Amino acid sequence: MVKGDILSIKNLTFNYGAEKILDNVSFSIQRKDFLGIIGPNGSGKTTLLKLILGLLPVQKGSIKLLGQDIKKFNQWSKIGYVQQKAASFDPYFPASVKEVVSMGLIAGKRFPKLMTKQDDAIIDKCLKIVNMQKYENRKIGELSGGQQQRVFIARALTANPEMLILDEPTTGVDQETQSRFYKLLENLNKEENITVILISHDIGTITHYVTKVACLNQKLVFHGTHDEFCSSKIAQQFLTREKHLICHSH
Amino acid sequence: MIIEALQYGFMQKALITGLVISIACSLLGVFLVLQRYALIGDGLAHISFGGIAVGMLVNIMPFLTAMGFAILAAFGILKLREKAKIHGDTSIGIISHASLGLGVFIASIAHGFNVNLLSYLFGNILAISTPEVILSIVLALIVIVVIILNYRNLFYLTFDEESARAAGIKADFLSTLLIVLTAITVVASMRVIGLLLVSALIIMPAAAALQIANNFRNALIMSAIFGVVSVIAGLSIAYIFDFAVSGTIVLMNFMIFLLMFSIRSIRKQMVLKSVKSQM
Repeated sequence: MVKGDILSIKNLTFNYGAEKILDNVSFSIQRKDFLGIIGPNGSGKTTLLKLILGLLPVQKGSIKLLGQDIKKFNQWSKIGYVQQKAASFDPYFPASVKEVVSMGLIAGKRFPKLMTKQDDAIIDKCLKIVNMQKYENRKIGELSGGQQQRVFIARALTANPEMLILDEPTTGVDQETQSRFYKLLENLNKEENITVILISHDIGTITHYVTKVACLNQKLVFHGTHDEFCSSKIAQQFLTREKHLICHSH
Repeated sequence: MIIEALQYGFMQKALITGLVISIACSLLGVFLVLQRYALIGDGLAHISFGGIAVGMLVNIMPFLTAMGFAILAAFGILKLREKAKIHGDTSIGIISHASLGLGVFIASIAHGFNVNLLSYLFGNILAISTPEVILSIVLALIVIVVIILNYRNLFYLTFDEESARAAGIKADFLSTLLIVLTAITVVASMRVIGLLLVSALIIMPAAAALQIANNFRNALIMSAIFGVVSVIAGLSIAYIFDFAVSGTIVLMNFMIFLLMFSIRSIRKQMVLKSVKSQM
């Protein structure tokens, strides 16, 4: 376990051509934090996430993951990633739930990456955590949106990650399922001690669950605890735009 | 009659080569079809045609020049897609037709080998020489072994490229590997089924398997079985009725696809009926 910041971002700037997407963003998060990254569409949330995941190259500034510079970082199995449901896969793909979850073990395995009985036990355990064990032989495309996202969380959990990163995971999922889904994340954060970064534009919902908030609009306009956010001017601005925003104390 | 036919050396060679080639094609096909890259086999076949023509012109074994052309073109397609930001199908179209054009150009200026060149277009599994049989089998076996060894990485990449990249899977290497394996398979298959029809052996068994498979492992196994069945049935029917072998194998594949498509449709209707009756 690395002590101190699990993620540290300093002076991060990113451009797509001439267009500035992120402007001098700096913040850090500690182990066991549950960080909500919020901001309007086009504010650079997904770009920030792709930079953290190494899917885009850092142009200016630095990112440190588990204490290591992202350019040298290779412990990707310690970072679980759940992307937006709609963008993630072909619903007609012939993959069973168990096969999808097993993908989470692939990166950490040595060639030729054979599955063992121990791996089966890990898959069963992760499916149990997300309460999907009875669906293990079902085709992933036959599940509901909420169930699919649970399966993707199970996939991210198989490698025993220290941090879970989710990009608007509940897009297109009904309100009740969303609440159950966020509750599951809260449990993973509190009981399994997994640091969670959740990107969402639905601040009304996620502020129920997160412990810290980062508000992005190309620049970092706010970073602090949940309570600080709720009493901040930024939150009041959001309040006037999104009438349903309710801040709950933890 | 079929058993009797298998006593002939040319039939034994045809059957063994056909079976190994069909397994390589059908395994690759599942990944290519799911990655929306099904027609790359067609493109690489056109490219191989240019390579064969060059081989005949400079008197080098056409197998080798076709292989060189196909592998170089495979890298070219990937580079065009990545660096020049040209869509995958457009980059295949540009390179494959340039090579096909080169083949036709060479055939027009170098009279004398047009008939041989055309034999690669349609293939003739019953007339392949022993060195060609050995080369085809070795190449196809290499493809099968590499796919099996990289099965899990390729599966992850095919299902969800972004998550696979985020998990540290070497997606660029695997994409290159897949396209190079396709190039090798096309060249290994050209004497068996012909360049014009090789894409059918890649696409059809996979498309048939995807109609009914409910997991990825089964899709691969079914695709291989359909490929093998089409070769055995195609060879047998062609032998009995004296039909063209490659055409018969492809038609067998099409019939298997239609059968699987029908099974899927019937299953769907049955599920809908049971849902309605429960309401």
